Amino acid sequence: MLIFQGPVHAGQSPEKMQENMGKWMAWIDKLRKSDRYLAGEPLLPGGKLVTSKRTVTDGPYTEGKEVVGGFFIIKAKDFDEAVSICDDYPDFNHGATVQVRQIMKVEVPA
Amino acid sequence: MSQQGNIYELADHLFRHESGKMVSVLSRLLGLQNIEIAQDIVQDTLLQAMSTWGFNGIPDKPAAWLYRVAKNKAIDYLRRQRKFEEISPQYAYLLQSEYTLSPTINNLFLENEMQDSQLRMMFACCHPSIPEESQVALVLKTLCGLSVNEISNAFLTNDETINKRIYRAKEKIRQENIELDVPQGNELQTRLNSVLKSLYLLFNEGYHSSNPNQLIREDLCHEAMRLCYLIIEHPLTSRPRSKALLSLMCFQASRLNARLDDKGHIILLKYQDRSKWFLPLIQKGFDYLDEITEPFEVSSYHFEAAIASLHAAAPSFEQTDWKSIHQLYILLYQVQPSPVVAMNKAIASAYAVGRQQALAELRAISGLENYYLYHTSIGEICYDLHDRAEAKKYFEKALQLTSSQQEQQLLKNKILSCLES
Repeated sequence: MLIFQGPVHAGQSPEKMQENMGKWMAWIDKLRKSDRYLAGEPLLPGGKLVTSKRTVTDGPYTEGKEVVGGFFIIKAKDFDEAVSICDDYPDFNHGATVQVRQIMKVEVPA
Repeated sequence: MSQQGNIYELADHLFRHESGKMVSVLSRLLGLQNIEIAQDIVQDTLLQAMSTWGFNGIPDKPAAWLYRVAKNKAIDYLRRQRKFEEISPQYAYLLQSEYTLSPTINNLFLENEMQDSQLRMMFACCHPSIPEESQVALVLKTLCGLSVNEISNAFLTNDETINKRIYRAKEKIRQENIELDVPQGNELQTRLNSVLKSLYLLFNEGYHSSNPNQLIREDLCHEAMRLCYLIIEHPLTSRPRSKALLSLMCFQASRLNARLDDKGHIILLKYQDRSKWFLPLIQKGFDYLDEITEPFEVSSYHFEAAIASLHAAAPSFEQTDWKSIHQLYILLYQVQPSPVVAMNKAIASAYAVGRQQALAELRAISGLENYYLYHTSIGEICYDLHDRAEAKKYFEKALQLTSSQQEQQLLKNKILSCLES
């Protein structure tokens, strides 16, 4: 799973946004064609935070660069491959980062 | 949404152009005083499009998708704000009731209303109380969707300068309480003139810009043409002078690809490969030119378009109808007696009358001492008259006055050829 964290693209020009979108589409396209893309969604900023006492607040108010903007679920044979897939991530130059995590597959005994 | 959505299905500059349209429509709805809210709504809309389309592909009707999202954001905003009369004096009444809220907004997003809004925005940006340089910056920001950084880049200046120009324009909008109205009667004609002037400056900025990036320059030219096209599409503003300006732009733009060589050096009209001129645009230029005589009016664009058409029609530099061009410059000088027109008139007379006369005319001009092309032109004529030493002096003077690398290269070559003889 690739988790995209970074600031929202505020103040970007329409032309740059269109360009950035093109890079995302090309990236997804490339992963799809090599059969490594399983799913992905963008996330809207903002949301709710529910505590154990069931209090609901607006949040999470994390720092701009920690906001999760979306995720991919991809197929990769190991971490090295998953990390190398991130080479095409379009938002590095906006100060954004990618968290690479492995989804746990528990083998259930028959 | 098409799963295999592809960026190449999307029109070039779609975001940029739709942003200009939507800012115009929303400013009309919310009142020009609230243009920043309109810009925020549009920015949010594009951000949303960027993430969802980027992940899931481009929708079948991208523009309609954008309008729907922008409309909903505008409705949300209006529902949260209860002070309608402060937001939008013109639409306050219709926006207060849920019954008329959506239809009012939907109506403003119809194609012809959107064109109308853009036209109103052009009139507002070119309000006489806003200084000319701020007008151009504001047009680029609001109607063309360029960011401050893109504008300063195109004008080879810094963000701070452009920010100041836009700030000054917005100040004026507040102070003068400028709204998105179409001016009436005589006011319409005067305002149309300043809109056309602004587009003319915008086009020239692209055409003669010293920016080394060819793409930026072409963008500015195309934006000016797109807006000018909107003007001639509207019955109120489709005047012969508007068409003359568009005709002029078509002729000039047809040469954009022939103006630079592979290394980005400027090729003078004399040496351009005329087969590289873009014929469809030349044809368009002539089409608009046919429509500039009725109803009768005279503008500087009439003469400039006619001059450009003679260049476009000439099979070679030598076979150009210099006599007619010279005559047209004389007429142009009567409606626009500026030193730059005088200079062009003198250059035309070099080919139509003689080089000695041209030299005398050029030397009589005052006010262009710091304009590199003025010195280049005198140098050229001295060179043709075999006065190489004099020519070299003028080329060297010109070299000091231009910051464009392409122009500098051109002048260095000229200086070298003065030494060769």
